[in-house]
Parts: sequence; structure tokens; C-alpha cells
Amino acid sequence: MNRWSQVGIVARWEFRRFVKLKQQMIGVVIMVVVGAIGNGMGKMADRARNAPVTVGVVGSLSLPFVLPAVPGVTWDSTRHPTADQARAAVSAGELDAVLVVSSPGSAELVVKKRNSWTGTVEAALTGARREAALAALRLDPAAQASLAAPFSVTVSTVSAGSAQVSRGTRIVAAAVLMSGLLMLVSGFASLFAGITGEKQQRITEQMIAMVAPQTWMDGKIIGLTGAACVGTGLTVGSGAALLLLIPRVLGKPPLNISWDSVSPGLVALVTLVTALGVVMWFSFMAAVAATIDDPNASPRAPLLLLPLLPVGLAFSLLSRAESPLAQGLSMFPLTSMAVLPIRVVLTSVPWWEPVVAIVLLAVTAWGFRLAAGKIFAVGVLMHGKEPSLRETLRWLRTV
Amino acid sequence: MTTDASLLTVDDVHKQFARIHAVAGVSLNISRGDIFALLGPNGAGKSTLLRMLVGITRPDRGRIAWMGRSDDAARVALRMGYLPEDRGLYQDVPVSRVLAYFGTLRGMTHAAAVSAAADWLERLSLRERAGDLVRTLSKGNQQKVQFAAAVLHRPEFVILDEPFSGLDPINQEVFLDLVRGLRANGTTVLLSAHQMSLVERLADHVFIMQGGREVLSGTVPQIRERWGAGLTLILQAPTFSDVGERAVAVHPAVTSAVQRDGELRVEVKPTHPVGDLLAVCLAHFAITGVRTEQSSLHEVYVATVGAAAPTALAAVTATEDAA
Repeated sequence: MNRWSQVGIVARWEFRRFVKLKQQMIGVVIMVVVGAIGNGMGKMADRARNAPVTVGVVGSLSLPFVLPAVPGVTWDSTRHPTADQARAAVSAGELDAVLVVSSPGSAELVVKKRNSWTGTVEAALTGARREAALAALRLDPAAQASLAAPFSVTVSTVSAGSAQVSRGTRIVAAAVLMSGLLMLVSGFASLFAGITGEKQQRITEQMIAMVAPQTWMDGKIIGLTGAACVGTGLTVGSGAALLLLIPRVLGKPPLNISWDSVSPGLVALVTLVTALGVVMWFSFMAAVAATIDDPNASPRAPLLLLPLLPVGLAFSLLSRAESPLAQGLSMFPLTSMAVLPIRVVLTSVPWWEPVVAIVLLAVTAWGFRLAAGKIFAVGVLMHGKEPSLRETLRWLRTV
Repeated sequence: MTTDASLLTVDDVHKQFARIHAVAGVSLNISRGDIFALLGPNGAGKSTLLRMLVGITRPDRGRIAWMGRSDDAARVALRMGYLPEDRGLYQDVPVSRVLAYFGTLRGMTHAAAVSAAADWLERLSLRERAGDLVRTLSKGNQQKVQFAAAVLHRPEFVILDEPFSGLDPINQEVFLDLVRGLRANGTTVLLSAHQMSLVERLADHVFIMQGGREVLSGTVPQIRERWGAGLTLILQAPTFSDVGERAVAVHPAVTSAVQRDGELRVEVKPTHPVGDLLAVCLAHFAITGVRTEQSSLHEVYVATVGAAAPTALAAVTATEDAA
């Protein structure tokens, strides 16, 4: 029987094993429900935050400005003329707070309990005082506007091919990259559970008698990549649908993305790098899982987190995407999947950098696949003990 | 050693794990259509030898040839079936789907695999369970499904590693019939087992291993003849006189004569005529009944393997650990 036919059969089997549309749809529904609950709770929090409060004021005449308007706050400077009376009113719950002005630049805000709106009151008073001070300078409106205006900087580049990446391209590239990372996480879980489960259920010897280990592993990787694509697609798709629907439901302006400006080349580049990265790390994962005897007690479980390190590295380089370190890591095969897309989107990248990165990543992914196949071949038939690192390296040389 | 009818020829095959020689120079020959039984104590090297035949591991030395050819393609052409000692099926999948999957991996079309799976489940009285998850089946029924998985694709050669282990007597008989059915359909069967009484009823050829080596081999009658204690003559009489018992015991055809449970059990040397011995017995005792027993394969096995067991025990344990 043709090797690739067997790869296809294994891939379909693994895909069907791990794609459970019913459960996944339930997961999406739960996500929507949780999102709706979160949104409702946010609204309740907003309502609570904006609940009207009455703040008594003692000594307002010594302020060099008129008490500013603060959303949800009503100033009351008439009912309690002395500080003691006002404090008593706060204690009795007649007032929410009292502002006791001690000098033109300071006051004490007395509240019954600490709460979140006091910061808003302080900011409003500071603003009112600044405006009063500016007014006292008797500047003309143009000078006042000039004082308040931010400094404007427009970035332009002189290198060819360094045009600014559009917002749409950034969003699509980020979505592809995040999907790849989501695929890694969900695919790892499936690979790990699948392979260690097959070892524990003693299926491996039966399978190896029917298919070559490399064929079996390739089929698994293809099938589980497909399964991870479906899971990720459902998650990302439902997330995108929510992003588009929620503003309509809430009566807010919709997300404004100009799809015409999306660069197909850049999206294709990010997709290719992501796909190669997934194959490389899935191969690694298959080899690690094959050497694990008991998933609940194996000291190797933390190795599963290894592929996520480049992601953390990439995020830490967001503000220094143009640095030589970022450039090096964007071509280094173990980190390029996460770092290259960020560099391409955020900085000017010479044409040869993605080419070198892709070639190195492709070669490494292929090497990982072959090495993982050798480890997988021996590892899946071992029961009762886990091989040492030395043994594992010996398999690479001898199998 | 290879004959025209040879399906499999194993020639001086060795396999070593670290310092343990699991298989140490085994040679055997299996003819097409035979049921060939591989016997031996735990750790004798049986499963290692079977795994080499299946292609899971490769011999360090020696040659394995299928119909005279030692390449993988020849083995593949036989569409070999394999029931491993380590039983295992996907537990959370319906029975019929598991069988169809294994069938397609063996080269069947999906439709043919589904149809063959249905046939086998019918034969195994599991038709009603086809849609049930494997984990809901009893151990015996799971073993039946695993057997079906090994033979679904109509292999020309099938290897069954411990097919009877873990089965109750009723299911052992079921499996006995299944294996006979395979032979009737022209499939050559190589099996390993510990149940001598079943092997005796089933096998055409027996190969006993110990410490990775052949201890003895041949057809069951040949083995009985060459290695067995021969015939046991069991005499019944109201009394057995001491004089008569001595006369029987010293007869040249007799190995031993012992009274037990009111009977005189006379062990007769292999291939020795018993007519003269019976005359001596009739002369001394008022015989009321006579019956004979053949040495069983179990006795031969215990006599040949058991004799060497104490010295081999350490090696056997070490081999199991290494494998």
C-alpha cells in the first residue's frame, strides 16, 4: 500500500478523533454566553460607577475657581456650613462625602468608606484649578490652544519597500499569528493526549505492525493540524463575529477596517511561517510525547511549554522590533515563527530576511520531522520506563 | 532448509538487548497452510522473535526469508496479520469503526473493510455491539475484536502472540475454532502459547524455545515419540502381588511400575512392543481392566524445559527485563 495513502488514512482518523463539532460548538456557545455575562457585568459596573453622589462643600469661597462639573457628582455648599456638621452628615449617610477646603490649592475629601470616584473628583478639581490659573494669565485663545496642543510627529521612510503597513494588514497578520499560536496550544494538547493515550492503551505495537512509525507520525501531524485548524477557526471565527456583532447590538460604531488595503503578500508570508512553525513544533511534540510513559507523573511535561517561549520573547520585543537581537531571532528557526511576523509588520525588513528565515525554518522543520520520527519509532514501543536523554540521542544515531 | 512449500524461513537469527541475548541463533521453517506453535517459558525469546518476523524490530544477525526472499516487500505481499501480546484497541471509538480503520490501513477499501468487519462481528456473535464503544466490551470480547482486527484483511500469514491468554475455557474453544477456520481458508498460522492442551489439539508443528534457543521441534507425534515417556499402561485388578509387581518392573520394556489408587501404572519405553509385557501381567494378576495413556505435550514440555529451568531462570528474568 502506498505510504501516502496510509498517511491520508491516519490523518483522517486522527482528525475525526479530535474534531468533535458538537462539543466545540457548545464551547463556542459557552464563550458567547460568558462574553454576554461579562458585557452585562461591565454595564452594571458602569452604572454603579456613575451612580449620582452628593458631596458637601465647606469653605468653597476660598477656592480660586468655580466648582467644576463632574459626571454623577452634585456639589452642595449650602446645607452644612461647618466642617463638623458636614462630617456628621457623612457619618449619618445624608451626604456621600464632604470637601473641606483648607487653602486655595488643597482640600480634604471626607468619605464614609473608600471608593473609586474620589480620583475623578480630584482630577476635575486639578483641571479646574489649571484652567483658572491659565485664565488669570489673560492669554488670547490661540495661545491657550497652543499650550494645550500635543506635538505632532509624522513618520516617513526613505528606503524602498518600507511603506507603512496598513491597519487592515496588521490586523490580519496578527490574527494569523494568534491563530498559529492557538493551534500550537490546542494541537499540543491533542498530540500529547493522543500519543500517551495510545501508549497506555497498548495500541502502539498493533499500529507499528501496520504502518511505518514515520508514516504514522506524519499522518498524526497532518490530522491534528487539521483538527487544530478547525478548533482555531471556530474560536477565531466566533470571536470575529462577536467583534462585528457586539457594536451593532450596543449601538456603537462598527469596527472600521479597510480590507482593500490588506497586503496579500504579507499575509501569505505570515501564513507560511506559521504553517512551517506548526509542523516543526508538532514534530517536536510528537517525539516528546512518545518518550513519556505516564503523563501524570512524567518530569518531561514542562517540555511542552518550550515552544511557547518564543512567543513570550516576541511580545517582549514589540517595543524593540528593529533591534539587531530581534533581527537575529526573526531568522533563528526556533523563534522565527513568532518574531518574524512582528518585525515585518512593525519595522522595515530587507527582502532577504524573510527568505533566509523561511529557508532555515523549512530545513529545520524537515529535520525535526525526521529526528522526531526516529525517536517516535522507538519511544512508542517502550513501556514502563522513560528513556534518558543519552538513550534518546543514541536512537537518533542508530535507528 | 528451505523447501518448495516454505512460506517462512528463519536462519540463525540473533537479537541482543544490551548484554542479553534474547534470541540466540534460532532457525525454523514454516510451511504454507501449517499451524506452527512457538512454545517456551516467559522470557524465552518468543515475542522478540515474533516482533522480528512482523518487522517491528530487526535481527542483529541472521536471515528471515518469505518465500525465499528476505526483503520487506515479500513480507508486505503476504498481507500479514498480527495479534500482539500487548493487547490494545482505541477505547472511545465504536467497535466497527476501529475494525474498519485497521482494515483500510491494511490496504482494504473503506467499503470492503466495513463489510469484512460486519462479517467478523457476526461470526464472533458481536453484531449487536458493532456500534458500541470498545471500552464497554468485556475483556474477552475485546480480545475477539482484536483477533478480528488481525485477520480482517484475509492475510496469507498470521501471527498470534498468546491468543488464548486471559480467556475463559469457553472462549478458548471459540478461539481454537477460529484458528482452525483460518487454516481451513488457507491461512498459515504462527502462534505462541502456554496452553499445551490447546496447542496439542491445534498445532501441526511445535517449536519449543528456551533462553533464546531451540530446545526441540517437530510435529506433535514426532515430539511425543522422540521426547515423551512413551505409553503408560494402566492395569486394574482386585490385588497386585509383590512378586507379580517385581516381575513387571524388571521387564525390559518397562521404565517403572507403580501402584496408585488401586491401579498399577506401568510406564512403557517408547516404540517398545507391549504384547510380551501383557502376557507377563496376565500371568501374575487377575486383570479386570486395561487402558493406555499417551504422554501429553504438557509432560514433554515440563520434562524438556523444566529440566533446564533452574539454570535458565536468571537468564530468563534478565531477558524479560531487557526486552
